[in-house]
Amino acid sequence: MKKAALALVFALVGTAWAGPAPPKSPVRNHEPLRLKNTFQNPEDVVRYYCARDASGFVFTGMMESERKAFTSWKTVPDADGFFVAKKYEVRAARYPTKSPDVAEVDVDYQLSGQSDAHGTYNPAPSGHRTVTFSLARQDKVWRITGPQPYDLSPVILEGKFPIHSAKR
Amino acid sequence: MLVRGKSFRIAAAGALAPLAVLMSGNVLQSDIQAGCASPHYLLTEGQSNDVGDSRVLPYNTPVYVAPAGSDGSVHVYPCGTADYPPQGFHVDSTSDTSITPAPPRVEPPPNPDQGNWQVGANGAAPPPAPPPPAPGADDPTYDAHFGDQTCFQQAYLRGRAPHMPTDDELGTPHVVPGSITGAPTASVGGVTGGTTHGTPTGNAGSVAGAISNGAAGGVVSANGGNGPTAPVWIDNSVRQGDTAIIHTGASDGSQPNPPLAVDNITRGLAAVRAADRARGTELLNAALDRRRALQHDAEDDQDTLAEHYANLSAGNLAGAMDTARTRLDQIAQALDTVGLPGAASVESGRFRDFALNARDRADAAERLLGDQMQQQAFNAQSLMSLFGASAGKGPNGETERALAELIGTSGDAATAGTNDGLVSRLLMLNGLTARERDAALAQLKLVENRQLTLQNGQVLTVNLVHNGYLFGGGKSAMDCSSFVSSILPAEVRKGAFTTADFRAMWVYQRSGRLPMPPQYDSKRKTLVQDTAKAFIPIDIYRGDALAAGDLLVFRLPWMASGHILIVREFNPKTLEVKVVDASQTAGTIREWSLNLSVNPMWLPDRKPRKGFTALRLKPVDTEVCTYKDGTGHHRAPASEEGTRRGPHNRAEGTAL
Repeated sequence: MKKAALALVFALVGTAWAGPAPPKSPVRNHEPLRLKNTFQNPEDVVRYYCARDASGFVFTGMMESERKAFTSWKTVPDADGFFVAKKYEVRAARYPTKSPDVAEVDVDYQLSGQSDAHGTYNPAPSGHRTVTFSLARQDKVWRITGPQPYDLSPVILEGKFPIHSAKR
Repeated sequence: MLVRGKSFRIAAAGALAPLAVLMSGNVLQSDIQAGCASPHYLLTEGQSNDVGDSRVLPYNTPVYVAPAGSDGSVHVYPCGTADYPPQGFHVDSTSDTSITPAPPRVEPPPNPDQGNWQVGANGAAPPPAPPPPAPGADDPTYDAHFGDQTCFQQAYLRGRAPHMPTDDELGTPHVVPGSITGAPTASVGGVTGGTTHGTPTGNAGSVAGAISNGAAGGVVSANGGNGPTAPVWIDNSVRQGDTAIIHTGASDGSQPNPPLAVDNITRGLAAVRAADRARGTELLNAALDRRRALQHDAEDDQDTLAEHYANLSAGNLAGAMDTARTRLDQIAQALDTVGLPGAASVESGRFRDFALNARDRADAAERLLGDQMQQQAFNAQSLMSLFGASAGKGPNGETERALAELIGTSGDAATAGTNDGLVSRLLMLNGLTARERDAALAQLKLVENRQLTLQNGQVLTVNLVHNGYLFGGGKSAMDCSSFVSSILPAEVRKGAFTTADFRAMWVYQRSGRLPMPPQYDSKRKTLVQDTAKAFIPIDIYRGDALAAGDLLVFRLPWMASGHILIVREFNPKTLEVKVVDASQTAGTIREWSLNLSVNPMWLPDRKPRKGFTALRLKPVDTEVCTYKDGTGHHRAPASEEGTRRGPHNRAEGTAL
């Protein structure tokens, strides 16, 4: 019943709100919440995830609707800290198998540190971090299948989320 | 500093004060190193004249309980002396401090309450101390050199992150039952000269006490019963042949502890262990009760708000969504620009993101309503109830169901305590008119009102809907079960102490210094240090046994996040541990098992995987919480020194 209702939400809302809404808000710099995954290629799914992650939406709490629409995860990420990145780049998808329905997308991060909700500062283990997202297409929808949420630390982009590092 | 030619005994000290070790001056170091075996230097009341100078060891320094001498008394020694500092710990070379790795665990005899102490008993030498490992090679918490990716990766490969089970793997998430039966009862017979108190405590069936002195020649006082107040807490991981971690209890320092007779110790340890297990179980149950209460609060709040959306016309609902969108946008903007006064900036970011998500959902609902009304797809004057069971049964069924999901009025109780539930409540609250909002606020339980002064001088009142976290220390003193409950879900933990903080506390309690990194600001550093004093650090890598109620923290240095689990049961033979954690997706508590080791079961010396630290709350009032024993009695530390600060000195805090 609940699944059906949620699917209905996607179906109904999707027609009205399939893409990013034109921002009515002065808070314009953040990737708006999408309730339906209409992306045609795996890079765009990863790009959406990273953009939401960059504004802190993964750290503060991914919505269940997003989890179901954009990932095959069984749980939402549950993190109490995050990496801080200066920038990141989503690479072109590659297709490691013969199947056109399985893809991998690398995201290269340039990290500046780790932090948490209190601004506690940790240096990053390495200035550079590459995360390889695995994706699978099912029913014409690309979803992230890996890494699993407990292996994937949130990455927040400087300037997208209010981070004041510890006074040193 | 190498201490030579000394024997030691425990002296009374404050619960949070360093372990004061008084020394008589006539035991050769070699005697100690030979196994702390000599029973000849008796530390009895009558020998107090032997006390010479004194040294102070850090609180919780491992010490070795030697076997009884011929007169039934025992020595307590610091466990070896420091020829080298234990790797991975910071030892202040300028102080009279020595910490030495404990010797390897020697398997206890089948019945731990019988037989001799294996190490040192009958003059046997203890196992030789292992050679110092290469820096970081075998230290589970090694983090001295950030940037050494190779080292991290090697440690990672050795340790391997424990698999966190999904809800699907666990089956239907369930709420842990409210009480546990069969908790051990401290009942020890034949304790010479001492009395054991075991106080049944209602349905938990646990005991609140341990052992306290009887009329004469008492043994160990763990909860300050009727006997003299010179309690000694003996960690329940202590076994015969082990290094004993003796936590000096509180006293005014004027009365040294009475001698510890070996018969009494062996029986006493069993009783203390039983009492500790019972206490841990009780704490765990209370914490889970608190967690459930929080979930109920979230459900009540959801119902309160959803009532305002019952039987709205489509036009009114669209208006409410427009109001919500506008207001939430304003709140997000304000949080982005001026932030929350008194809160860390990241906290402002968290609530900003909640507001943005709620705004986007309001926007989506408004669009959906607008499109449907434009298409005249449903009866705009008769948008029926959006509540769960009745949603979708009105004349506009499917749309109503979709809206109920979107707005959060579907009445799904399980999600009330999740982020989705929080965003729904935020949306619904901000869609109300000012009058309706005031009425709702009077009933809501999980909301905090804050005033933000905008850049133009305008004051904006923000109603912070939350799932159990309040800023600024909260409304009331927190009891220990609330504290434990508060750290279960990561979402709440973000506002209190993270896994990195708990790990730092563990290191601090072991070494007296905070690890670096993390790099704290001065205020938070003080908070973490103070909070650390509430815990006994449990070192599973040296064979300490976990107990119910212990916090098991998993954090790898190269990850930006970790997990906290609460121990329900532990099997020291298999290293299997039953734990409780919080499922964000399910919004409730789940229980599962993991093995601390990835080594095959047949290996004789299975090592726990890397990345774990364990902490045990002290059973007294501490810096973080107020302790009540199983009978509901408040238990303050016997010593006033530095211990009665209570839970109010938190700069930031959690209140549940």
